[in-house]
Amino acid sequence: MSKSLDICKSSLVSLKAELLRKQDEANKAKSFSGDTFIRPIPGAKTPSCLLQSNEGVEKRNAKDLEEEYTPDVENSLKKSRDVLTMKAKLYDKLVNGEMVSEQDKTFLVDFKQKVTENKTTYPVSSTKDNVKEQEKSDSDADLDKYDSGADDDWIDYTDFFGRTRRCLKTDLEFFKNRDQRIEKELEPPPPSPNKIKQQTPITAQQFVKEGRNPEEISELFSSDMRREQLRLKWEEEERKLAERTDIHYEDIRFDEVREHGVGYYSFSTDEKERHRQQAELKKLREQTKTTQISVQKLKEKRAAQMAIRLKAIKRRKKEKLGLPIDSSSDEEAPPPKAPSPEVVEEDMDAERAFEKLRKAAHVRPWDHGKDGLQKPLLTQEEWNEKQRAERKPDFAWDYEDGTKVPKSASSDNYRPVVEDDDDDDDDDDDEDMVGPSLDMFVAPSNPNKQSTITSKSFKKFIHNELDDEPGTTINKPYHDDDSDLDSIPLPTEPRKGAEIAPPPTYEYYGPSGRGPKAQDNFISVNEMQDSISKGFTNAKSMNKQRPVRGIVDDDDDE
Amino acid sequence: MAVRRERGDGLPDRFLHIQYESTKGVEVLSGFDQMNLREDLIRGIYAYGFERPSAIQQRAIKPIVNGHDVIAQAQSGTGKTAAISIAMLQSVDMQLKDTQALCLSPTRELAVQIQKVVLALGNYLNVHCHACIGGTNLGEDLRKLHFGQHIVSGTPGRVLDMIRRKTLRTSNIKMIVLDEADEMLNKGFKRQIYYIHRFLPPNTQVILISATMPNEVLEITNKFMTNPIRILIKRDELTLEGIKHFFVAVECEEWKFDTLCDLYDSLTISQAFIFCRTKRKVNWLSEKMRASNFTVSSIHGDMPQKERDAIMKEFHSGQTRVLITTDILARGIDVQQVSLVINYDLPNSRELYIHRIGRSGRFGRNSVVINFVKLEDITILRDIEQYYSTQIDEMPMNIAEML
Repeated sequence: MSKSLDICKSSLVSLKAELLRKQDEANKAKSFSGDTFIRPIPGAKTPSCLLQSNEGVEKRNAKDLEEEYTPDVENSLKKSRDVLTMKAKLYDKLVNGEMVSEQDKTFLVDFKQKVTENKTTYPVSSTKDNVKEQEKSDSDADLDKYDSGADDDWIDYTDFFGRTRRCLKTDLEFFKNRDQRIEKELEPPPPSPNKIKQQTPITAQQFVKEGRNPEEISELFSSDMRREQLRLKWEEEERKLAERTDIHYEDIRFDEVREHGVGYYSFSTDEKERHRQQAELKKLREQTKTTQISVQKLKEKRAAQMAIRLKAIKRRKKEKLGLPIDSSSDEEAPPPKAPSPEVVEEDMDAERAFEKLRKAAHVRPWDHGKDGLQKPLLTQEEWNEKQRAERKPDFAWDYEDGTKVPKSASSDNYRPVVEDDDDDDDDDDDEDMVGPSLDMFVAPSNPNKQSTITSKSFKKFIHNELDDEPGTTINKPYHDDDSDLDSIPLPTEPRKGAEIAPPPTYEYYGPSGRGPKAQDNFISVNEMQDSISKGFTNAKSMNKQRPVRGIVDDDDDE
Repeated sequence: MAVRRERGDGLPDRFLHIQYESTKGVEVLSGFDQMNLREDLIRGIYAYGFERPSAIQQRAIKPIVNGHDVIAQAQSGTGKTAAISIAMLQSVDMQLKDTQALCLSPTRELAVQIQKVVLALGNYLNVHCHACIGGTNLGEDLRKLHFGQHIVSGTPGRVLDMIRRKTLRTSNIKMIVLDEADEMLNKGFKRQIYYIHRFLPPNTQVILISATMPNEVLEITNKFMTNPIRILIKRDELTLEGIKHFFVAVECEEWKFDTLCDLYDSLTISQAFIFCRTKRKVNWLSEKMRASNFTVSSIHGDMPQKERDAIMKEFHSGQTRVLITTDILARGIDVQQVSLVINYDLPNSRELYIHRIGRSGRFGRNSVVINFVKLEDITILRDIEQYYSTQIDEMPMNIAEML
């Protein structure tokens, strides 16, 4: 590997020259900032984004600092100071044995013993007085006490509370003044007469009470006391509510623990404030909406532009490839529109109206006799039933003996003779009408004209209502299906069709009761017999279910 | 006469075989925003914490809003009250300051709770809803009703009183809701309900809701409902998955107390209901528990309303954790944190069992039910177990871990 490379000297020189040239070039570029290179300007002092603070932060900070020294804060500070000194005094007293009595069991510490201990070992009581004395002493003593530390500018001193503090010498005067001011402020107020009376251990608790707001107190209470307090609070809230008429959710929560949705906004219990909050929410909502719309529009616009551009690109590509340009295929059909809410609304309205009508078609037993009750719209079936029920037994089908054919039944012009009802006197003139008429679709004033005969005992019915007799439940047989309602005209349909009375023929009202029969009368005898017997069985079963008066009377007669 | 007797005898048999089934083709809407509700109502719904409608809410709200008579049954704690509240709020005309919907409940506590739910859901609508319950100041009721309330939630007695005084105007009422319908149509309340119904305009929309719908109730519904839409559930689907049932067999009544004391630590993990059969027993048990230095509170129907009210508030706010009560609180009361129900005595009916256990496991939460059974009562428990096709095992040792 020791093979030496054969390098020409001239090439080495030229290499060096080239290197120098490049270095020189680079240097030039570095120093010349106005060209294509982008470099940070070395001297510029733009603070990094990490150090940059938001606009207005300093201002807010200043404001906060200002607020810290508002009288409110000062008051609470003072209070806590107050409490502490009072506590200290109490402690001193206790330690001195001033307030300790034999039977006293409120304190866990045996102060009596402590007093004796203290007297021998540790003179606690003097400490504070010492401090005071020292503070009031002349400047020489001051300098002694506030003995200078290592640094000449700094000085240690003991403040009013006995804490060792360090401050600048120049500030010492200020602190001394402050200490004196505090001392004056904390001079215990002259004890009031009741307080003297209560010079019992309770005072300790009173101290606590004075110094804290009610919430803090509750922490120290037993759960019973806390509950009692909550009850008082709730009672107070309720008393307020009793006078108000506008009651909202927030008024009646009474501290209930409940998870709400993220969107829950606890409105104020104050009516005005509540309105303001709601108005604000509304405003925000509208703002959001407008922003959303504008963003949506922008998006659409962009999408449209994009589509145009894509189209152009496609076209160009096709042109390049020499393919024919068919513009029609590119056109996209507009997306199918969702059913507008208005349509749905209309739909629901229609359904509601229909439901109303459907309800009107049937009078519920509990609704009988109510004011403003509409006569039910009878279906053809119901009308038939009604007519049959009202038929005089003489002319009616003999339900007992199925083989007999009613005398008048063969007549084509069969005319139902309506039983004279004592109850209805107002529409007596309508009673001899043939078949159903417009009348039956409109309200009768008398609910007795029910579709079934049970309504005859209507007045008794109301009184009997609550006897839990199961029999009453089938007075009106219950229809699971809606078949009997199908014939009710839809709200949009004209009622014309139903207003025309059915033909008063036997075929129509006959026992089979299945509406008008086919025109041709070619029915085999077998078929006829079959249908008649079916009708009989049908009638018999109905007879069993319904308290048809006529039949029952017959029974009684026999 | 013979005919009549025959009819009377023949009937019950016939009805025994009727199986009431849910109406077919009830539309299922899987989101509140598909229900075409008012914007402010939807806001209230979401704010209250509902995100998706529960099964019953998906089915029942729309038919009610469309004016149908509806019989709605659903498992306890699945949002029936909210469903009817939403429907009522949707149907009410806010401009008309008169009672338009009336909701009746068997207990005062429940009526107050429904009022709370209505106000919460209608918070953005600024709805006026009054709790018209007994044991409160009449003057206040008069004043509030005179001012005009869109919705009144109350107990039958006071509501009937208010209607008779003509303070509660009925002319604009378009819907009446019977919460806990099976209880409301029971012997005790039926007469009052009937009288109230007599004062309502004809064809008033009637809504029945409850977790239990015995056939006896369904049979009489056609007296005051027109072609109701039925949303029913089969009884083997009535118990919730999230609720675990256990029993503790005790040899005699006295042992129940010791068992309860042993369980006390588990009780206070969250909140618990203890159900006793009688008011006297409630008093006795709570006194005995307190004497043994356990913190409990108790409530029953013989207490003054003010006291009942305060105790409910304490329980709602979490100040008390164990509430000993009778079946007065068995139905409908909704306290989210309750995760344990103790049946100190077994309930009197199968329905009540469902309602009692339904006080826990609200809206899909997990919970535990512990039944104290004497040896002679075990057959009752087995009957309940079989009736609802559920499983009630002996209580395991690690019960506290399940809460």
